[in-house]
Order: sequence, then C-alpha cells, then structure tokens
Amino acid sequence: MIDLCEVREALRQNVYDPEIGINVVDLGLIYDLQEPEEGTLYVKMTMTTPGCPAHDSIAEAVEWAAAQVFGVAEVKVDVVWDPPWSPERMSEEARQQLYG
Amino acid sequence: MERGMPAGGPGGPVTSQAPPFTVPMRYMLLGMAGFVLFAFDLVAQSIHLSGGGAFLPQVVALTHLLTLGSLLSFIMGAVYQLVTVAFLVPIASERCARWNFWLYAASAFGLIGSMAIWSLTGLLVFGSLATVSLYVYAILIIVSVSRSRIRGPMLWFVISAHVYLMAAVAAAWLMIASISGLRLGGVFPQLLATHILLALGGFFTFLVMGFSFKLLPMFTLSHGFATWRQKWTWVLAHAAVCLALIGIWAQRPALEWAGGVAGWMAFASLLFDIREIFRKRLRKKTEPPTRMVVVAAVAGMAGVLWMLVQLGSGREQDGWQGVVTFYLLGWVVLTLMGYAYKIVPFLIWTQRYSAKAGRNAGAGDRPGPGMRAHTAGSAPDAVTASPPVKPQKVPVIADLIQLGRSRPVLQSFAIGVMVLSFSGVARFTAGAVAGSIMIALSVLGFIWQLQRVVDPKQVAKELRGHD
Repeated sequence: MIDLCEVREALRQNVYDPEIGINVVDLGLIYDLQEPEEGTLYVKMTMTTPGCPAHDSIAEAVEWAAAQVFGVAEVKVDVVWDPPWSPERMSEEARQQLYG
Repeated sequence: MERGMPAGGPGGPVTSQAPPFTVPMRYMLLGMAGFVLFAFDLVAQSIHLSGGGAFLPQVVALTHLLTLGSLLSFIMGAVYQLVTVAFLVPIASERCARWNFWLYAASAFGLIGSMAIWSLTGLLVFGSLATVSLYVYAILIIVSVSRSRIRGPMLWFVISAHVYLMAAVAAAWLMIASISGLRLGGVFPQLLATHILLALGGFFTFLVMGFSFKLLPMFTLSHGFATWRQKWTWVLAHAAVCLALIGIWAQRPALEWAGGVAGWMAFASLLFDIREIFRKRLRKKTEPPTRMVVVAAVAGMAGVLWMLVQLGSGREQDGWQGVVTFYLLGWVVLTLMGYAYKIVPFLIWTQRYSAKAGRNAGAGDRPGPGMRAHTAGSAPDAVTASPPVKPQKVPVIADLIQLGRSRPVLQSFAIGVMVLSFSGVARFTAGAVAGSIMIALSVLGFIWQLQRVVDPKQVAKELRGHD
C-alpha cells in the first residue's frame, strides 16, 4: 500500500521547476496520484505551458522521486494538457514567492 | 481512471525531441567567440564609423563579423534547440545540422577574412560556400517546423524568417557575382538595399518577433493573454518588407515610406502584445534580461521611425548607416543578448543537472536509475533500508547565473548603441569611438558572464569526440 501523502511530500521536497524554482506540488502541476494496483503509482501531471523546455527533466524527476517512496514498485507518469494548467492551481506559498 | 490528452504517448513521459547538447552548443560557442572578436574589431575600426566609412572593406568585414560570425551562428544554435521545444518536432536531420556547422564556420570566417582584404576570389568561393551552408540550415528548419502539428503565428513567423534569409543570401551572392564580373545592369544599389532589408527587416526581425511570442510568456510565466493581435503583427511586418522591396526596385520612395509605416505599425502591434503578456504575468519580479527585450522592441520601433525620417530628409549614406547601426544593435542584438542570458543557462542546466533533478540525495546513498530494486511485485526494501542521508541540492537555473548583474551590461550596451549611432550621423569621431568602446566593454562583460555558466574546460570535455 502506497502512502500517497508521502509521495506528494517527496515531490514537494525534491522536484522543482528549474526555471521558476518552485516545487511541482505547490505549482499545482500534480493533478492526481493513484494506486490502481498494489505497488503501482499513477501520476497525472501537467506543465505550466505546452512545449515547456524542461518537460522531460521535470517528468523524469517526478518519476524518480516518486519511486523512492516506500511501497512504490512501479511509477507511471502521464503528462496531460487537458485540463490546462492555470495559476489558480498554485498554493498560497507559491503565489507569494512569485508575486514577491 | 480518467485521463487527459497524453503528451508523450502511452507508458511514459518521454517526449524528447531536443537535439544532442553538442549540436546547439557548438553554434552558440562559435557565436560567442565571434562576438568577442567583434568587440575588439569594433574598437579598432571605430574611427571609421563616423563620416561614412560603411563601404570600407574593414567596416564591411566588421559588420559581417557581427551578423555572420556572431548573430547567425548563435541564432542557428538557439533555433536548433528552440524549434524542438516550441514545435515539439525533432530537427529534420541532426547529422546534417552537425556537419553543416563545420561548413558554416569555415565559409563564414573565410568570407569575413576575404571582405577584410577584399579578395574577389575569396568572396566568390567563401560566399558560395556560405550560401550553401545557410540554405542547408534554412531548409532544415523549414522542413522540421512544417512537420509540426502546432500551427499559428509563431510558425508563420519562423517559416517567413527563413524564407527571407534565403532571399537575403541570394541577394548577397548576386552582389558578389556582380563585383566579380557578372553583368547585372547596374542594379548593385538595389541589391544592397534588398540584402539589408531582407536580412534585417526580414530574417532577424521575423525570427525575434516569432520566438518572443513563446519566450516572453515562458520567462514571465504569463497566462491568459490575448493572442489575436499576433497574426496582424505578422501581416504588417510582411507588408513592410514587401512594400519597401517594391519601392526599392520600382524606385518609388512613396512605397518605401508606406513600407516604413507598416513596419512601425508592426512594432506597435508587437509592443501591445508584449504589454498584454506583462500584464498577465505571474512572476511579478521581472528579470533584467527580460525587461531589456522590451527596451529592444521600443528601439526597433524607434529605428523604423528614424528610417521614415531618413526617407523624408534625403540624407544619404551617413543617415542610412546610423539607421542600420541603431536597428541592428538596438533591436536585434539587444534582444538576442537578453534571451541568451536565459537560453544558455537553460541549455547548460539540461546537460549537467537535469539527470539529477528530483534526486536530492547523496550519490550512492540511493539507487540510481539503473539500480532500481523496486520492480513490479516486489517492495523496494533495499531502497527504504538505506540510512538517512544529508540532501544535496540540485541547482535550479537561477543558481547558475546572477541575472541581476546583467543589468549594467545591458544598460551600458544600450547607451553605447545610441552614442555610436548618433555620432555616426553627426560625423562626431570622438563620440563614435566612445560609443564603440562602451559597446565593446559591454559585449566582453556579457561574454564573461556567459562563459562562467558554460565553463569552457567542462564544455570542451562535453563536446570532444561527439562529431
């Protein structure tokens, strides 16, 4: 059984948008975390813009960081554009960092 | 399980279209080296830059050291990288792009050298080789982006830019041929004007405008801005080039003037778009290079206005030299410097740190990608049994370069451009020398900051043995 809260925290701690310097969770890039079957983690995420130059490195970093969490045997990362990312998805901390 | 539109196909996030690091980096490094040579040569030739020295061989060589030796080389590297991320397509032929570098480097610098000593044989041989190389590049990019499913103004701008590049190069080759004895019926002045117009107003302007629609929102994290005006910017920019071109060949100043008005409106439209992008930005604190891109767009608009005044005033060579200097340095070069502060660190970060992203742990403390103990059906005990480790921070792009330090460099460059341009028109030699020195020092400061990011020793290792 995967602790999805622990996965979210691992992503918050470890995976940053290299251009903005804010983690993917607070940026609101992680849409969904599920465990469809024992040990398999499904991550549905997006990027701030289609054609983001850091697309691959962020998605691979999510895959790697999630794989380090206890109980995760396999990670499947799905990058989607629908629904598109919007600023409303950001956390208050991320907004403060950007607006500051 | 509900899913949206997958970006990378089933089973993983891989969407990588980017060429190997060595392809764009070689071009960019050549462009940076060319920029340093330009800085020194600019000071050396500065005494000729006031009072109509534009046709002296060494000044012609200086101009092409900037355009061919630096700008085009850097742009080729940046475009090979950017089209893959902006249009989500690979380069049509990576091998061709890689080998074309050597043809370009040899032919461009051979051509510049031939200009400096005014060798007609050299101009013809290296000019022809440079023509081949630039056609290869332009065709590669046009074929690559034509395969993209992404449509819209950015694609139109990029394709138009490269068509104009091919036309500008054709005009240049015809000029060389006419100097070498090909009878063209005394149209050299029209060919020269066409070459400058297509290169500056066509290639450079269209490319910078097109990619600005992608890069500025990315660097400011702008969302929800209106894009309807972009197509009108494209139409107006084309109208400007075409009207001016017809005016040049039909010798109708009114059409040239109409072209200038259309160009001014294209810049006005671009600036409205930029204002919209900035209004909707989420990063309230804009970095100096990004702000300088806006200043450069204003300079482009001012350059077109100056051209209109020049058309009306009837001043000859000095005035045109001032317009071209101001437009080239103030709009094209300043914009590219601003973007280079962002693009080069990104490229270096991707090469050196992207594989470590998300792995904020000491090497060897946790399994690497090839050592994963956690396969389907087995709990990753080996992973979780590792002792606690002290996290090691993987740098973000902002850690690679202190963008605040770009401010004095870009500001002194902008001031130098104004001093040089106006001194040239006023035939004020001391001003031209002072402006050239300011520009040269700014360029050297700019390259110094970028080379600290690139780290020449490390990049030499990364490039060695990859061609």
